Amino acid sequence: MNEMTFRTKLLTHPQILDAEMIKYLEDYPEQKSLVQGARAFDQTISDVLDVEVPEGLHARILLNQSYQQNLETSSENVEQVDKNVMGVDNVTVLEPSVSSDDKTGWMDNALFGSWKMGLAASVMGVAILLGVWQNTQQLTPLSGEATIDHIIAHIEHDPSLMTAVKLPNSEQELQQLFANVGAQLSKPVEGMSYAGMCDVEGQQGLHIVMQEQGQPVTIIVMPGQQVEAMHAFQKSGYQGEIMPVKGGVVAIVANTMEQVALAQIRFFKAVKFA
Amino acid sequence: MQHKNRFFEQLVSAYANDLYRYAYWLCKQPTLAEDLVQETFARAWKSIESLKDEKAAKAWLITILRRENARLYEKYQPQLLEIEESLVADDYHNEPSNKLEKEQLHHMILKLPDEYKEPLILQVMWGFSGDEIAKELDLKLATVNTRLFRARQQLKQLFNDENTVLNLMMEQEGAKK
Repeated sequence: MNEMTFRTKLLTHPQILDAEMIKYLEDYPEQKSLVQGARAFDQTISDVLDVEVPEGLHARILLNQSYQQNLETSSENVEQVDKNVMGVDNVTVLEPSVSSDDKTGWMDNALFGSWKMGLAASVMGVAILLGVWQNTQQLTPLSGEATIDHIIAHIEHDPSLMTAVKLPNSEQELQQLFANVGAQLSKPVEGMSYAGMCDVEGQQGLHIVMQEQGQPVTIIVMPGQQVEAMHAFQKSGYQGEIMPVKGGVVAIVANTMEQVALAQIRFFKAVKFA
Repeated sequence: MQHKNRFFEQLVSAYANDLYRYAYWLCKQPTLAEDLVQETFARAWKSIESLKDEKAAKAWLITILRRENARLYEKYQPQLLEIEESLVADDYHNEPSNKLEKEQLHHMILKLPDEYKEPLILQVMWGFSGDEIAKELDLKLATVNTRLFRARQQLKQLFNDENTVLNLMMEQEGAKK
């Protein structure tokens, strides 16, 4: 091996010395400084490549994923509702003479004959579709900045809620709270310290406080409102996100984006909007 | 689903920072780099089931990011950071020489053509071997080796030229005083 080949190999892979290169260094020990120089330069390159990563990047990625997951779940739910409705209608159309002895239906066939069952199912199907249609029709678009101001003012109006431990006495009452805003609780929301109804922009909303990393995070669910897409905000020392859910809007407000992300993951793991 | 979530969180924790850095060096803009990383993970989440071998995650994520960058590049042609360059030139006498050298190198890497820059980043930052880089970039090993050599050669050359100019300027400053 000559010097040219040695240098070429060194610049190609400064961290690797193959047998030929080692042999060359044994023959020309003064060239060891070349290796040191090449490795020092590589370390400088490595340091330079190691640019600073924006704060909260991980949290924002997880937040986005959590939101994506929530959307997937919501669309699956919608598909499921559609399938159920279609299924009921199919029974109505294709099997109009269901046996009156069949007691597995959601209502007693002794009260509702087969044709009445069919009619009821059809009415129910139409009602569900109408409900979904009305929900989408009645959503009021939110005015970004003003809504954020209102939410922050609302949070600051009663700071005692941040530290209060006040939850409904029974699971039934808790479920009712969530049902009021079109949501369903599939399991307890981890870290929830407060849950109650509140008034946001003249409308009844659900006010939740969760304790995340020892800090309070406020979640406001506003049914009947609408935003086009999830967006983050930073105002008055708070960080937050406003995001669309089925039939309304959810706002999450905390001191840091990481707390927002963690609270959102926990919230949507437990709460479904249908 | 829980396993999927946990695995995804592990991927974010292990690779998000280096993916951001990779994106930054490709697109040269911090905001765009974050968008690229977000899009990469959004796509990764959608097809996470297709990742059979966890060891392949690193290369898999880079492939997604590179595709996203190519897609983005079709729409926009990001400009080099001219303003920052001028800042470096103005501040040279206020900065410790080591920091200044790194800032110069930073701009030189930004100027390096992508065909040289990408193999270098994959090797130095991601610890890829020559074969792994060849596979990721769909090149022959010999081509990868040539590009790695030329990348360092160009940086060294530029770096030495810049330092010569800098030394001259500093000498002139010293003479004035």
